[in-house]
Amino acid sequence: MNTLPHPDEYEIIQRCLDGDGDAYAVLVDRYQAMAYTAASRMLGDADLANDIAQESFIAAYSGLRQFGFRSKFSSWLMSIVLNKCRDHFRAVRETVSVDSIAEVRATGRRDPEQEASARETTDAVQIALNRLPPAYREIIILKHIEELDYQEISDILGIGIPALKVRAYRGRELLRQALTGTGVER
Amino acid sequence: MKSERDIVHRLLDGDLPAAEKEAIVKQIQDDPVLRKEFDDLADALGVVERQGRMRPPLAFTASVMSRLPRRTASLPARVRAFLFSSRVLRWNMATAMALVLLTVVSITMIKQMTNVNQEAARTTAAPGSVVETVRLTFSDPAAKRVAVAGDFNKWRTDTHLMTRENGTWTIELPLKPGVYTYMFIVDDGEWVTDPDAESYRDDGFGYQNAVMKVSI
Amino acid sequence: MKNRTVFPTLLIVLGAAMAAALLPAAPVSAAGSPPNGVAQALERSSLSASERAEVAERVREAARAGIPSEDLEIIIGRGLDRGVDAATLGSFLDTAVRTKQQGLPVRPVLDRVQQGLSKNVPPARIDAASKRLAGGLEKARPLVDGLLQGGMAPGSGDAREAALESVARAEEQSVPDSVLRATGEKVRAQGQTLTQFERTVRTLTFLNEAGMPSEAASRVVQRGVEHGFTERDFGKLERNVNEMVRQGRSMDEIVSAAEREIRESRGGAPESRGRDRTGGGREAGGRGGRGR
Repeated sequence: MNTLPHPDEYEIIQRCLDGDGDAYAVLVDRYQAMAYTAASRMLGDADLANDIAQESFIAAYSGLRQFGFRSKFSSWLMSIVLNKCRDHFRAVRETVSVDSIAEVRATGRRDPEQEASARETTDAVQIALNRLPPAYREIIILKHIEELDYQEISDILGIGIPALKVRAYRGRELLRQALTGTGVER
Repeated sequence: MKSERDIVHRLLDGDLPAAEKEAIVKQIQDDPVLRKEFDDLADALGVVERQGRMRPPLAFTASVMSRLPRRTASLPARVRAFLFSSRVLRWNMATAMALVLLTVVSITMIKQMTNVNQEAARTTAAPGSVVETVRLTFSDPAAKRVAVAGDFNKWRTDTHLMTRENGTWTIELPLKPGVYTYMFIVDDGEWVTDPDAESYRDDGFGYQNAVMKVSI
Repeated sequence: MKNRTVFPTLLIVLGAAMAAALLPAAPVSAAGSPPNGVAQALERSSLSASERAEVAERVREAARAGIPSEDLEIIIGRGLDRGVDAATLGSFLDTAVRTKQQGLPVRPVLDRVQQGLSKNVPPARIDAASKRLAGGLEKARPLVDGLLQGGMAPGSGDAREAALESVARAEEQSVPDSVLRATGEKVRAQGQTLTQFERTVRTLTFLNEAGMPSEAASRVVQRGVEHGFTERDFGKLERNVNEMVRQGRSMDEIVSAAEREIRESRGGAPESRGRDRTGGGREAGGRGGRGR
């Protein structure tokens, strides 16, 4: 890890562990946009993203004792968010999916009906991201929305940097193709 | 061919040292194919990057803080009523027998699935070896679910659930003599070290496993 | 009216189907194909076809090397569920295979991987930690085999594996090599077995983790060995130290109390246990009925 955590992070987490749960609100304020954006871009569904982002903070709070400062809190939180998104995709794939929109997002296959309705929100970026398989969506979000360096992404995803670069390069090309035809002004 | 396109990506990575970056920028500018490639990708990424972060709903922090564990632990009355209200059940013998058969088969299946594996290990012993019952307890009145995971069940988090008696969670484990490590998992996935364990041991990841010794 | 016959009939059919499903659950799988659970987990995953083939091949290799299929199913299944990539899964298996091929106990390595996956530890960290343990087992070998070759009796069937694991863990916790060797010498001088040595190493590691400096821990443990401390005695010693740590006593106090406890014991004879009144009441409740 080559970037340092926020200077007061240690102190806040200590206070939470000592019983001052209210201190946690500082971390929730600080990282909610990050968590919500990542979940929203992964899932393409604002309400679900809200749920998952909140649950991630709650899970992080529960696991605080074991967090042990082995990484930045934000990296750890982000890996929880992404894990929950993956769990959601797996659950969607395993059930007989009545909700084809969710299934498409879970697998990244194109669905014209879903795209038509998404287009109404003029969120071309989301349409394009929805077309990427989840693993590529993750790397685009981490590299180009969160703008993290490869070392930190490696800490979050637990994948070696060379493999990450392969994924990022391919992801960018898929993204470029996906953006074609969404009518976005470049 | 592939390695040429790679330099475009390396420039997009944004982590090149200055000298190398200069060389690559020049190489790209001098080659129309690479130049187009770069521009296309950079444009696509620009669209994404310009979006930046999204703002969660205003009540986000308040909602999270109110849902943190060990704050207000009261169950919704609806759930309680659902579980504990009296119900009348009508049955016939055929159904009862069929259910018994199903139960027997299910139990047999579950036992097969949690069988210890064949490899010789401290926990495996010759047929007819002694098994001791170990009782673990854990006090947490606010918890809704507590499970035990350890080397005896390959750290499965859903096969050994504890039962609650007045705020104390207990479980009985039949184990062959040996030394075992374990932890409790509370509610959604908080890993907790047994405060009353005989001994402790680092798990190699910075967690503290509890240790129990089973002897005859 | 119809429900009375249809419902139980359906239940019986379901029961029969489940009973039929039990039969193929026998452990033998066709030679050359990965265990059932692994194939299914790969199927469900988002790995590419070539990655699946790679993982399947590594699994076959591991099975051939003698890694039990249940463990392989757990590692691959749990790993894929958590999004571990093919290369890292292969690395997990590789560490286990190499450990087994070197004649070292593989269970600790498998346990560490399974544990890390269950606890949601980042995969790269699991990989590093399991390799570290594998390396520790290798480093422990000269010490343990040296004791055995020097004439120390094993003491129980799995003494060597247990000792290798405990020594590896001790080194992981930075217990110095010299301390381990000195303790081994002490155990040997007392004519005790490798199993007893393993027990002392566990206590050494515990004291070290509790914050006791190595020299003090070494002294305490060796004194216990001199007094013929049994498994139970060391267990009690650990519990007492743990209780004192919890009470916030200083390490100096704890070391003296531990040494005093050993001095006053008569080699673990039953009478000496009743004398303990410093344990804060936990010992009094510990006899009979608690089952631990």
